[in-house]
Amino acid sequence: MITVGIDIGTAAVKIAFAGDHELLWCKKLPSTYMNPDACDKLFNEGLDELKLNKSDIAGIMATGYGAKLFKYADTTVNEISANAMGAWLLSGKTARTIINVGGQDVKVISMSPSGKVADFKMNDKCAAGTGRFFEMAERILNIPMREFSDLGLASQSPLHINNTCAVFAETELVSLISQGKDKNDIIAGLNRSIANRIASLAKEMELDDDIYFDGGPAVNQCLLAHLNRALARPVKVLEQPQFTVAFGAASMCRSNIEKTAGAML
Amino acid sequence: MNIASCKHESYAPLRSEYDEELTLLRQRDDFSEEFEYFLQVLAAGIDPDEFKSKYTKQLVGLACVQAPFELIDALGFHSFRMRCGSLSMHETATHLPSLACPVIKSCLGHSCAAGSPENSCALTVVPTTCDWTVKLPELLRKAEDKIHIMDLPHLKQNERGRKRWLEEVYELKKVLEQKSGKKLSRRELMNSIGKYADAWDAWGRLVEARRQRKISGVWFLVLANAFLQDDAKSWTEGANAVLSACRQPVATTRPAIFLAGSPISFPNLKIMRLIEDAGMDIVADELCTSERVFVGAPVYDDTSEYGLLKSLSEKYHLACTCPTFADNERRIRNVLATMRDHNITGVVYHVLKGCHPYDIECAGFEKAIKKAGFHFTKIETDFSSEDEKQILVRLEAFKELF
Repeated sequence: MITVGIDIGTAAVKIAFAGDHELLWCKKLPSTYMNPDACDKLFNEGLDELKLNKSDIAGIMATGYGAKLFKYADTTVNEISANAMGAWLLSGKTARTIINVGGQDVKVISMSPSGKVADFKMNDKCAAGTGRFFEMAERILNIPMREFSDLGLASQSPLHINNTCAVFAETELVSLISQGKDKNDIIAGLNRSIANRIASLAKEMELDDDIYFDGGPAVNQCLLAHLNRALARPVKVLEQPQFTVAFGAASMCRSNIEKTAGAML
Repeated sequence: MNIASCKHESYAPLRSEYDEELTLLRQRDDFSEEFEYFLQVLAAGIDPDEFKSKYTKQLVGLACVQAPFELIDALGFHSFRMRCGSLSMHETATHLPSLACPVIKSCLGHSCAAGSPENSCALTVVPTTCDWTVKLPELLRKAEDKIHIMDLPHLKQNERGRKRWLEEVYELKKVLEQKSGKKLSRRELMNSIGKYADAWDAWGRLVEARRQRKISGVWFLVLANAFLQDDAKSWTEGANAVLSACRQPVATTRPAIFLAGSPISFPNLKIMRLIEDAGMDIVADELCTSERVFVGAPVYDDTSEYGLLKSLSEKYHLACTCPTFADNERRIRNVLATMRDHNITGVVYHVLKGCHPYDIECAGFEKAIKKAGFHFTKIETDFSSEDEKQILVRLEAFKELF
């Protein structure tokens, strides 16, 4: 049985095709006005890549802020539940805490031994520490975000960035650039500042040892290093950190189908 | 009253805000004609002329629910809680800090609007609860004889605090007597206490109806908000009509929720609606614009004027669990007792940005709720609608914890 999970977020649309609770294929596209049919494109590409027809798909579950936008979705699920399930399965059922940095929010989710949400915290209406913050920095520094990891790690003395507010930090970055500060040090300082912000939210929860980090910014090794430091413990990153939520939705879709079939027997 | 007929064009944004919320309420599946009376009460505030023709007595505006309604009524005034839930009125208070409490901003906006009920009061009574309320008289810039500050003792569990608050109640009596030109009559005070006791009686039955989900959290709040505007006798008649027409309890799997935290006022029912949309029922709350308005009728043996005023003073001070008090252990005890008694298993803690007392008590509150084995989530927001989607995501996830 193959199921599909699609995570329609504010920064990107992510899709995951799943087999028996394993990830078969995944891809993402930016959720911008340039991509109004991103969901359809990704879905059709997945079918082509896996040489499947639409009728081969047992079910599609959508999640994320735009969950109701995909016309082929059979059901929707809350992204917090999908995130927990995806991280739990992909971690080999060991994850007990997941830190997710999305386009416009940061979530810290604590999970039960069966992968269900036990408790969670989210940032309030503020872009501090979210993907939007990185997008702002990318624009001001004129450096692609994918380079934030290597450039930050190359820094010997990260600068102190005072502001985590996206608006004030923008002014601060412009000021540092005009002072001729090294860009690597600025980026390292930025990563540290965001890691501290994420850690302060995470510390509001009782953290277990098996902490995982996912979402787009989780591929940033410099951010991860600062997060390890800020939380004073190792934080693990899943192999496909951007697709955890979509995969969780696909797996939950499968479980629902199995449950329904079981009930009918 | 038809809002569209309002003659005050400067009220256009407020009118559209009211219209939008009233339409949503009338479109609800559980709307029945008995609720219409309360919607009319709330709508009256949009047209100052309508409000003044509905309530012909001299007006006394209250900044919070700490001043005894019965005393004000007994001296021939109509008291009402100054409105504080409008986003458009909140946005007129541009001179206040951006992180100032939205309740105070909205209240100030209403008070500064020409001809508004808040602007036309014979007296504005401000009990000094939180820091923002303490600054309200200064911000209102009213003539000295139009404003009365009640100095609220923030310690209530000792004789000193109780004595001081009784003195404040006596001071309010003196000021109202001067305004009305008549002395307080013990008989009229007894009559007013009786009138409000009837309201408390209806209120108790409404509380019970909500616990049994015969009436939704949204309608409960509408009735409570209307009480804060309306004449007690008319309100009681309307409430009794609602109680007579209440639906039967329905078997449901929707989690029962306790709503704690900052006040929620018409026309901003965002959080109430989102909790419902997420699949949960609010069956109890502690909001000072809802269930906490009604802490019961005063208890007295001594029917002298002193005895009656003392019992009112104690009811409005000792029974209050506002987090502005320094000795407030009773708050969490009350919430836990209500939850245990009525099978409520989760708390949504609502904090308005800038509402510091509720925010400060939140961490300890969360700890106590979780220690007791219940679920807890905090929602920090303001009057705008831009974060609705994000809040809904949280509430839906919260619901899945049950």
